[in-house]
Amino acid sequence: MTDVLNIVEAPLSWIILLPAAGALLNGLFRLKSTLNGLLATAFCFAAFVVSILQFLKFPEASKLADPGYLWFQAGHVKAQMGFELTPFMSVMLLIITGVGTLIHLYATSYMSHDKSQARFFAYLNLFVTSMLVLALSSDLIGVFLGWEGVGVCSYLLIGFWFEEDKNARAGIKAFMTNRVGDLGFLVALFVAFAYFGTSSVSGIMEWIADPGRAAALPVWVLTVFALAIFWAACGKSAQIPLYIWLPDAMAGPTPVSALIHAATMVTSGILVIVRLWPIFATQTEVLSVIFWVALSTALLAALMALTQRDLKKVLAYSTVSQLGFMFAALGAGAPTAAFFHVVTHACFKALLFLTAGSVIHGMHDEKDIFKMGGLRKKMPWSHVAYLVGCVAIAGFPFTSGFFSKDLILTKVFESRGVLGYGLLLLAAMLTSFYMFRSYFLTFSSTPRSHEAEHAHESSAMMIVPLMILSLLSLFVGWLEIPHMWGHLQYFSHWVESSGAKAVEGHEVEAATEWLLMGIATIASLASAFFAYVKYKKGPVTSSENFAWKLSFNKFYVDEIYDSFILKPLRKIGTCLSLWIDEYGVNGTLHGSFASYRITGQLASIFHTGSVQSYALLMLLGLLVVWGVVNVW
Amino acid sequence: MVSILFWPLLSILVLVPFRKQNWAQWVNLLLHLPWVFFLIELIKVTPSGAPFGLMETYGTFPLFKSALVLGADTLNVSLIALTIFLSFSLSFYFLGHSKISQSFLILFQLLNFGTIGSLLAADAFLFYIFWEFMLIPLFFLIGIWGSENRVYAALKFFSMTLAGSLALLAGIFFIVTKTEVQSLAWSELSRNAEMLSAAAPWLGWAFLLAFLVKVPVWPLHTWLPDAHTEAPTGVSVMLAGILLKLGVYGMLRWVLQVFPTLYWNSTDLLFAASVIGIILGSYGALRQTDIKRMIAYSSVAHLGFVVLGAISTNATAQSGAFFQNFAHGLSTGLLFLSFGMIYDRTHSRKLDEYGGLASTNRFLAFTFVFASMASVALPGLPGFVGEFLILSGTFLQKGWWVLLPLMGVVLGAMYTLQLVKGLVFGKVSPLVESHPISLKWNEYVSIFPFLVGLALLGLAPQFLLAWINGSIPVK
Repeated sequence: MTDVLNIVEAPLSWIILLPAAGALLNGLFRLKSTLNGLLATAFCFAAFVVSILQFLKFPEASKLADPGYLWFQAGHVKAQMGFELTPFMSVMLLIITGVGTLIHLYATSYMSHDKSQARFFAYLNLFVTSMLVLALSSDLIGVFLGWEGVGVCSYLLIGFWFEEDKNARAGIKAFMTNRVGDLGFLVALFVAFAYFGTSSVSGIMEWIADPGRAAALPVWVLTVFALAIFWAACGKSAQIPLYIWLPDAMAGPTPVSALIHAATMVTSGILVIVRLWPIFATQTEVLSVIFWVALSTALLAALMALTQRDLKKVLAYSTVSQLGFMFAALGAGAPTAAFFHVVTHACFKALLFLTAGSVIHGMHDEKDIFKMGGLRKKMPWSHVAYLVGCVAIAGFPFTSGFFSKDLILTKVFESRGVLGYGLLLLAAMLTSFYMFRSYFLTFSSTPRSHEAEHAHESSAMMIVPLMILSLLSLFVGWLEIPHMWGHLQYFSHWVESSGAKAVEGHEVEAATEWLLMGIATIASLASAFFAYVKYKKGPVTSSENFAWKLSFNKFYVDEIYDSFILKPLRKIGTCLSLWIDEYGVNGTLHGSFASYRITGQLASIFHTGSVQSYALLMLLGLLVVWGVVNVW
Repeated sequence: MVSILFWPLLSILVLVPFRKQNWAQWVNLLLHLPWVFFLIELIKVTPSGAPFGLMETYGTFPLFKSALVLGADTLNVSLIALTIFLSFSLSFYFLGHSKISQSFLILFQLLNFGTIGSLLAADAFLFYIFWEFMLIPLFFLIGIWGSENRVYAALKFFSMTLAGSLALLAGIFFIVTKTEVQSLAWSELSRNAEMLSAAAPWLGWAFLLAFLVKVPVWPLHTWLPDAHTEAPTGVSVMLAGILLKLGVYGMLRWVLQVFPTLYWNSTDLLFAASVIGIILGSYGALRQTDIKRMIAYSSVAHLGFVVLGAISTNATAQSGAFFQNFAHGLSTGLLFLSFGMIYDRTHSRKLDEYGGLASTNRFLAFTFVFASMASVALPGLPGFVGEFLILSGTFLQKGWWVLLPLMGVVLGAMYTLQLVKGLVFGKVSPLVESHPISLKWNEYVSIFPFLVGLALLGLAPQFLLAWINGSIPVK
């Protein structure tokens, strides 16, 4: 990284305004056939084109900036709505708009029979807008605007088919859980304004970089700030204890699950932490917390994914688990590895979700993998796409997941030792197992239901995005190869030139690295083979023991939250409110009227509606006033 | 200033000959146009900065040591603008409405007269007259045009606010008779702040009490759910939109600027009261089954935030409190207005009878969701600006105590989403199915300013913040 910053002005707000215009047009006009979808796709694609143009300005520029305008200012708070683009975020920008365009295109076909297409694409474009605000804002308060904006779009899209109560409730669950997380973001903003005097990322970084000013801060400030941001990230990026909304979020249309709940929004917690990395790098305790929370999430979610029957639920728990991998990388002090996995995961998980959507589409909305089977012949393209996705997420050699997961495992081994490494490796093995379980149950053997027998391949408009994503899932990993293979480390360059340097740890020798790579590869291949042996003939139902029940019922976490936290809180609050308002305050008030009876009698005066009684009342009022006068 | 104050009275005179409902509604609408013009003229001359930077005296009443003194600064002119905005938007809603008769409109204009008067009054006695005067038209508007329980609600509202006002009156009489101040003019009182505080320690409390009931601050809030619920739509909008803010205005103008010592001494108590108001108000909303009652309880919580900012010692939270007045006026006003349009057709306020509005009227569904998002302080809408500034300032001043009101951010989302789910989402309920809603042009027109106002204040709030900045005295 060069020390001389070369900040170039760039029209970044245009990237945001394009999908915003798309959202507005789709919100206002209901067009015929699939025109709404194509319109939304066009605006997203336009944003992609502008993004590429900005991307090409690197590496001459070290940062692009768009000053924007003053959002609001009062007292010590100054909120600037400005935008900036660092190299690593420009990669994310390409993911948001590029993968976003593919998913829009796919959705145009996927949603073509829905009567509310215009609303769907308005939400989808609005989501892209908010996500871009989140990614591009130069100030944390602007990031928060996008952060809550994507949350609302997620809420609206999860509950898109609002006629069903279940969907509307899943939307509320997502919104509420995220709100609880957002309290962390708000606290971080309060701290930022109170102690750094700004919420601009570069402003905070300057503050941290200046030893004099940093020393003047109370010791807890940075720790609390980092923990608060991590709490917010737990909400948005579905980590323990706030991950519970993501599996339910699958109630939304599948393109939404692909775009929001796999590729983009759920990674925003990681993106924000990478942007603020210089703070986190100094907070070793916070990094430990992040690591162990992430590791537990990765394991727990993987265990839950083992037994799910709903294809989208398998992918949802897998997403939670993979997000755990990314946070584990952060906890191991390796922002590059985390961000690398964000990108590869965006490709293969979007691919998996879209393929799942294609399968569900072909199965006439049947999501139960126990009722699938034999789809390899019925849906050859989807089969290939899903296989590529599985191979990539399981980390088979030379696929994108291989490179990114291997980097994470190596970094974890370097900084967290054998225990952390072993547990994360276990999570990786589980990943390979449950993904191939879903693959074999869906595609191999013979059809197990009427729908599966009559499944049909999806339209070309849906298949083309799948193929493009398949290629990305296979090859995007080659942008960051292990050091001993050669000099091709784009991600390190992007992340480090954006100001996020890895925490110094002891680097393992090449021989160890080869060894770790070998272990991970064998583990993943073996798990896949085990899944093949177990599920090639169809579902195995004989093993419904206690452990199976725990996993299938998601360790009863939802039920525990409900009966020990949510219900009591609600009960206590409403009871207090009822007692105090109705019996306490109102009771006293009615007492001071002597009784209800007098009130009733007074009231009956009004029922006469006569002018005299009104006059009488006014006179009474005047008398009271005179009475007060005469006291003095 | 005089023209903007007396225009509603003049409007009443103009309205008198138009006995036909239709005519009266149109005349009422047209009468707002000159009013808007006067407002623009007033905004042009209003100085930014000092409290009551512009003051005019028109006559005196020596008996009460008082005078017809009107004052203007950005603090009250901005609220006048809000009043006229709401009244103007509502005048479109009133067109063709079967319940809105000539006498309703006359009382409505009387209410406007009282509101503007108490905002402009720069003399304690004059202020009191207007302050009391507001109650009379409100009392009749609720008691005559309200729904089933209107009389109970009107009486409760009347008696509770009257009790507060009598304390204020007692305070004023005490000042006139027992102290050495030359007049009741605001300038005289604020100059003699120390002497007044020394004269009787309860004096400031007498003033404060009147405003606390009006805001309303917990536990003086129980008139609000009844009054808001039973009142006809137009009055609910005005109650939530502007009348509650007069309580906050009164605190800032007549307690903070006249009894600063007492004001700053009472902040711990008020902090506790507003935090309890935020939390219990939210839970109060959560347990309601009546839609208007839910919205009404949400006002208790929102006004808790406003008071939290108003008692803060820093400019951040103070500006936030003032901005939140507008945010809440627009978002809650729009909630009441859009639900009012539904209620006009269905005549039911029970949440469990609703469902699936999004399938039958997309525009109203959008409006309601939009207003709800504004109400839960979504960034990009004005509620966020207000709440964020208030909470930021509270953190600066009180540190981690901010976590208590912060809970309100979560609770607020909980009841609002529950309301949205019950009304807008779900299957189309029999009630909604049997009462198809197609809005008339004038109803669209009355909603439109709210939508534009919310978007504008959410994305570009700075023009208002910069304008009102400085007229709020900070410790």
